[in-house]
Amino acid sequence: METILVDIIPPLLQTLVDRIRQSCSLDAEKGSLGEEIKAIELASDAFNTCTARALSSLRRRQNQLTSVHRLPNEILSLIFVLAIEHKHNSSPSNHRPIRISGVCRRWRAVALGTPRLWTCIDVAGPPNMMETFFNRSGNAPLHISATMGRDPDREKDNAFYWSQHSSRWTSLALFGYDATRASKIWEWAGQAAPSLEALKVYMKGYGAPGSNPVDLFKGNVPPRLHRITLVGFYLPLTNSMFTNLTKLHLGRMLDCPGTYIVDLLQAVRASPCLEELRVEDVNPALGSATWDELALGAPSNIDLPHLQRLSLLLLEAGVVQFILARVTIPPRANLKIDMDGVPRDQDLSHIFPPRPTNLRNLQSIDMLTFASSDDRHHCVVLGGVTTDVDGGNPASLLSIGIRGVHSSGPVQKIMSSLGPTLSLMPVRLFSLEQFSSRKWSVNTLLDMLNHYPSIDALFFHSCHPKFVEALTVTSSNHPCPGLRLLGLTECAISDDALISTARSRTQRNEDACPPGVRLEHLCLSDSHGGSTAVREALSLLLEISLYSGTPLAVYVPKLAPPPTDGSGQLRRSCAQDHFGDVHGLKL
Amino acid sequence: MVNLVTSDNESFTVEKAVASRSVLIKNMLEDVGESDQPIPLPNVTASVLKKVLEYCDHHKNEPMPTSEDLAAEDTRKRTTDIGEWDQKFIQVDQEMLFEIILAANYLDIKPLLDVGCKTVANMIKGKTPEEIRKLFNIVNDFTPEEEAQIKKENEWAEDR
Repeated sequence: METILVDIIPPLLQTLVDRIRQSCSLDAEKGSLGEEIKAIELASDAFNTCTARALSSLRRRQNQLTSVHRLPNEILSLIFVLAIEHKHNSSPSNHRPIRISGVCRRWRAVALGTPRLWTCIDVAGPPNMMETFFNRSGNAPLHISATMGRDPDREKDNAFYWSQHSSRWTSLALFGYDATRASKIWEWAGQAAPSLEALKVYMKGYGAPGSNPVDLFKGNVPPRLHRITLVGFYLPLTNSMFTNLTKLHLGRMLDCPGTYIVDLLQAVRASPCLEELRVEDVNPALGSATWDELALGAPSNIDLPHLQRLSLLLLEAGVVQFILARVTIPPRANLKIDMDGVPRDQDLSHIFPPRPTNLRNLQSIDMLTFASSDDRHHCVVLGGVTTDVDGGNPASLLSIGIRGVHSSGPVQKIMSSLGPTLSLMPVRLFSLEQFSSRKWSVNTLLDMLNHYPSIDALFFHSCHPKFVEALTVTSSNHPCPGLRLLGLTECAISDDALISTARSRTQRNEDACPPGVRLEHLCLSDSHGGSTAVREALSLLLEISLYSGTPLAVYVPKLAPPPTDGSGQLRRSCAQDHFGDVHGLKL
Repeated sequence: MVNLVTSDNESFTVEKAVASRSVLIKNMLEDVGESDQPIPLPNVTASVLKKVLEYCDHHKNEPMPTSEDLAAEDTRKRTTDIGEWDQKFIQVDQEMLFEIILAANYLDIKPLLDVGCKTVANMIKGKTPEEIRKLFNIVNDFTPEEEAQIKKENEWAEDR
């Protein structure tokens, strides 16, 4: 380095300065100190610029050798668009496209040539930022997002800026702490937005009647508005914007009139192409009115052939039943119900209408799970279909989550009402999880199972052994008569009890067990995985699969040939799905 | 069955349903009709094709995306959610990841291309430019003027 500084650079610099003097007319007097300084400054600047350009060019070539740079521009562009994705209930980040465009020259060129990357805009930045996004987004549809209450003056300026381009809006999302502040936003949201397809308003706290402007969009409802989300923001559902929707999400409403639910059903009826309906924490004040009185003005038999998801969360049982009794949902729709604080005297019959044949997805459910929580205060019921009609993956069709105000109340209440209320489900595979309290009733479980005579596979996971023993067949008692497969994990049942129960359901028990379906397959894990006593006692009678994280062995009965009708394969598949997916075990 | 020959001259015999996940191969099969002739894939090596066929085999019973599906995806907001099996499948080193993306693009297997692109997008998400450079072995090749402009844009993005 010293040699470069002493021997190489000074003569080169002198030559450079001399050449610059010759070609440039310097302002300073010839031969003066000022002229000398100016010439060297010019030489230095020029040298630095040249060096930087040469380095930039070489680094660019170096980048071309990296594996990511083998991707063509159109794929990089697609990756960038995916990388700026933001969660549905948060505002987009202006950082993301800026960061992507600041990685290297090629990425910047691709980013600046991808208008879609600049279309999700949080209208919170300074004017330069807004101008940058506007220019780079070309003519692509805009997704405008505004968080109110941080800097009202700037919000107003930016709002005005973007309102000039409202013809390009395709979605508008507003976030804030106080719904009353939203009135400023409506001044510009009221501009004609002919392309607007989605409106989201998320406010902290609860929305209530009278707290928001009623003349949203000043009466000019955007003709393409099909997706509406209002959380903590109350609007009367009689507004003409609540028609022809494909998605409606209402959340956190307080003190709304009892007719609000009737209006909701009217809006749903006026939206025959609805794909998603979510009503969360909306509890109307009935006042002196009763559900029967409200039912007089409510539409019924609302067919929703395109519905994919119906979520009724944190609602009173009466509200849920009122809605469920009036909509017809297709066989592959997912129904989700979540309830908190269910009183002791309520069960599924207060949530579902009697004989709910209009909920056609229930009639597709052949796989049902009932699980209690560790603290036994709440439970979930999950329903699905093992194989989709098109041969696809198992699909989830039902999820009911119940938390009660009394300990362990909901678990017994829901268990006892599951069969009578939803017996129309053709359940073949039933799974019971964490049904672990010794105090819970065996009869309640057996009564429930009796409502599903089609069950041919039962799985118990972390259940009290008395519930497994209750499956023992006697001359007077034959629970789950179609049972062919029994799976147990972590049930702490003794070898003797297990052998006795299993034997009672095989051909060995012809005296007690009536002719018909026999237990053919036992799936065991953990403590029973290595029990030779169980294997020796049962391996001649049925197929035993042992698991301990990974499959250990399969003991096929020597006397009874495996079924040849293909049902054995189906049961094995069910067991594989169940043990593999639910308990993390693999067949 | 269909016989595929890779750029490194390795042969793969696969079910027609598996090979037809590739729109490129599907169209070729439709064009030539029933034939025992091997299909050359000059842009795909054996190690990559093996991986691609693993994907095609797993998804062979799923409906092919229609042109309406693809058009709808362009207008709808995309998500970077990846299925459980696909996530495990795509846990490969970077070199292989980009090879799979390139192969999916060449063979026209849109769902696989999506999985690859979403995986790279998820790697980028939440990272600073410097972190992204480090991740992909990229060097900062901006000129000082470009660097100054980028710095300004970053300051604007911070100002909110």
